[in-house]
Amino acid sequence: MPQSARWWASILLLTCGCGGQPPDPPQPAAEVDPVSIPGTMVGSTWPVSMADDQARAPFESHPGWAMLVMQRDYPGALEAFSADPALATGQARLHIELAAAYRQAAILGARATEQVYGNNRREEDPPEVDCLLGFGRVLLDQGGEATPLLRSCSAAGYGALSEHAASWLAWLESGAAWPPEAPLADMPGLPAQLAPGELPELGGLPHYTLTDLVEGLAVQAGNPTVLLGMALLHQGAAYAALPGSERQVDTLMAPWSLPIEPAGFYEVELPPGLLFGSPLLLGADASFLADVARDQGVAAVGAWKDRSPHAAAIAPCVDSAAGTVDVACVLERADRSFDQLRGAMEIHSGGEAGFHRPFAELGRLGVVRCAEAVAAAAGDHEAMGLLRLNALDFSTGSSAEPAYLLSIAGWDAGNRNTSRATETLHAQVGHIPGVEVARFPLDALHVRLSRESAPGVPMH
Amino acid sequence: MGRSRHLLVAAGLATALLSTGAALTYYEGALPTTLNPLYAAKMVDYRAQELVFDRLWYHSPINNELESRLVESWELTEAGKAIKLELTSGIKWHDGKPFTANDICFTVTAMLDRGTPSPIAEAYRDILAGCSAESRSTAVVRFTRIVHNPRERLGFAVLPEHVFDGNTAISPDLEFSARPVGTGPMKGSRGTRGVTFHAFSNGHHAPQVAQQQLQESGDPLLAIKALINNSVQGIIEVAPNFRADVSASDELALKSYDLRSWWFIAINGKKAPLDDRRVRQALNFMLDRTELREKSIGVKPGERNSPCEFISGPFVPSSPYYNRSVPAVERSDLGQAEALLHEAGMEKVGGRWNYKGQPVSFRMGMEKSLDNEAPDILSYVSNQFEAAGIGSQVYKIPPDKWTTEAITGSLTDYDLLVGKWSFGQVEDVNELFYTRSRGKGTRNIFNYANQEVDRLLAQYDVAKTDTAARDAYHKLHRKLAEDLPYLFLWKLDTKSAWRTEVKGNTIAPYFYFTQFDSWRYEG
Repeated sequence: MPQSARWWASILLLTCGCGGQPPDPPQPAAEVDPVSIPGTMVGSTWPVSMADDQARAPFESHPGWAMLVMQRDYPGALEAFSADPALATGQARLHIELAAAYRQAAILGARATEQVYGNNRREEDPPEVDCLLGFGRVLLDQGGEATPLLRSCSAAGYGALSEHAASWLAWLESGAAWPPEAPLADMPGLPAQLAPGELPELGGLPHYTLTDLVEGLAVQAGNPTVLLGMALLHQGAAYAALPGSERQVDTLMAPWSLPIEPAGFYEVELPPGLLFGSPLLLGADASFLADVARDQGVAAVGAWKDRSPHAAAIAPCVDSAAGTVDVACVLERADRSFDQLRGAMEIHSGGEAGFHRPFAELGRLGVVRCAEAVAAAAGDHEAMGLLRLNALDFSTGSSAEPAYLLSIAGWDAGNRNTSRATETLHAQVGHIPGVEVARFPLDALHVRLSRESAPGVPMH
Repeated sequence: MGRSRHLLVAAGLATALLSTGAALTYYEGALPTTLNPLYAAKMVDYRAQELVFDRLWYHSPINNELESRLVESWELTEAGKAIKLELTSGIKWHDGKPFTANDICFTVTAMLDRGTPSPIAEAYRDILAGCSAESRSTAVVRFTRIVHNPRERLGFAVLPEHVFDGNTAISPDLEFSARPVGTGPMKGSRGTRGVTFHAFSNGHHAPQVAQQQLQESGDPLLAIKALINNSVQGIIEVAPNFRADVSASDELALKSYDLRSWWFIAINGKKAPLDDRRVRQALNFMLDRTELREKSIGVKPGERNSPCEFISGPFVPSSPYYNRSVPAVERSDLGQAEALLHEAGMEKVGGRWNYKGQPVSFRMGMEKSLDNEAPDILSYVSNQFEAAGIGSQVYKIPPDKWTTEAITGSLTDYDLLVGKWSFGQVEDVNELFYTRSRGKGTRNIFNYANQEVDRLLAQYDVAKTDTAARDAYHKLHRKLAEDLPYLFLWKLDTKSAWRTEVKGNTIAPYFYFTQFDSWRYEG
């Protein structure tokens, strides 16, 4: 057994916590409908395909995959992939993950800015925060609300802030052609280009040091536009790493798009390297999610249930007419998917193996996340919230995808739940230092809300 | 709705109806010391009280919306210095008496009464000015000043006036602390071996779990085994060492519990030689936190996403109040420690440090239940001091004694105390470090006193702006990292484990059981 494969196996073993006795064999389901994923689809999912030793070997034998999928050690994975041109898929995958994460950090920063300087504006806040509000609102596709702020900011003589506001304003007024090149061009610290294999860090923080109006103290701020810039650069690097992959990349990126951004949607097949270790089981799951994200919403479930394992799993739980999602049903079906995948892997492998559980857990997580996206699109916020909390509980170890966790933090920021959001963002700064930009407004929001809360005393 | 969906719903309803008789049992590290919300001192107290009482306003654990089960509508009055509350009708106390506006005003008055020696009440005295009941269903709560988002300030649990006969000076040791009367989803009763909760259907609550039992867990390995064997159905705090076992089971689910907790070793700076800052700093360098974390918490070398992160001051590292320019001491540096002890006039004789001719040995304690989360930590700390030439005797302190003596500053015969503090949205640490006097410093373990620290705490208290508050705490962090009333250890996240037969178990940040009406047990 090669060293990297042994290491991979030990990581899997640690993650699934099955160091002693092998897990009990899957029990036959007692429910009325034990099938979550149609039988014809199960065999073609990546977990079941990779239950075959030969199919899994290229991923086990290269440390880059373990660093990427198990540890989210992006610099380590990139170095490992860069040394081997045959692993361009790995490199593309890494850039896709970062592009998604930076987008979610941009949303997080924009929402936190809105909450602290929009909904909770205080007399102490420097007038320049209007500019930050304007930048955030553009990213959140609230151009109507952004325009007056950008106009006043651009005329206010705030130096770099005013110049940047003028760029966004001009872009909005000229028809908002995507991507917004001029606003990105004047962002300090943003590289002009990004080649595959490069991992630039964002310097120059804070972007601005403002002065509060009551005590004259320094208020640090960051501009979320830079996060959009980093996302687009990484997306470009993903295209370049895997020539001809634009449709695949765009489809994978669609669920993570900024509200202002045109979401890509294509019916795609995805190579194993773009699925391995992900909650998406087939390319059709990516297309299904992208379809939900554009404007199909609940209707996408019906359109994809015969091709996408996740759409099939959640179809019985969605009431299209009412626009609701049954949370208990989704969780039940997610467990069934888990059982089905594990059972199929066991047959394929000719017995139990340590990787079966973590692979099947990713499938279960995928069901919950897809249902969450459908609930969000349907406007069933209660179901969406409950499904998010469940998905968060499932997002541990190798299932802890930075983009998803940052999306939860962005949701939390919009809900003014800063305790969890600050913790989530802090953890992700360890993986992707550039997302630190979102910390400025989130920290400001947390301090403001904590000072306006019911009194609290430390508890043992 | 499809046929299979009808079947699922019908099956779910049938199971729910059948299961209401089933009792749910869960483990806490220790039993609550009180069920009186005014005297909560530990998180287990808060969690148990959340089942028994309603807070006036609370945040939804799903979308963080500010909600109230007790208040139907509200409006600001008196130029924004008061809030008029129209109460929800049909709510009863657990003894059958109706809930009225008088109860809200009684609670406010009790908190304002100096005869109620409650740190929680003390914290409210800064913002609450009084309350009047305009009718049985209308109360007006007054603030000391105009406040932003006034409803956010009203997060206190409401107490029944009739139980106290209108006496607003509430003592911590009344019968009420063991057998309280609330309006929450469960009626609770504390015994010597646990707390029993019975469902209490009300106008505003419809609990689906008929009976729940809180028990003390003891050995964490045995607790996990009991959970796997279905002898209990939940464990509130699962030590990181055992989380993999939970994840590996099909019958168990690991659940996130959002709580900001950090660990420390409090130093008795009133006793020589610990009254010398150089000695405290030497102890800080003797500790090898990396080794401690590996041995006690089970963090692997080089592990990413560790649930346990070192700290250098009294906040979790993700907090805006944490001063990131103050580095944490991760590894021991015995050379620095020796230099500091020599500077402080101590001598090393035969491998043991002597102070004024006597070998130095510390009496070290820890609240017993912390051993569940960080097994054997007391021994590992003791071993590290021993290896560096400092002797120690270690003691596990019963939870009640911790609450009544350690937190109140009475365990002065100890030199070092290992502990943990937990916070929610508010990360106010003033009560831990203010000089203990006139209602301040109520949780100052060894009665630490430092004028400069008091000045920074006061700066935080009176800060007009968020930036000023944050700056004050950043300076406080740096000062405490130098002066070391505590050896700051780490933040440790919290995870619960529940059997999968427990459904709908949404866990609220900090308070835990806020959404208990949705919990079901299908065992």
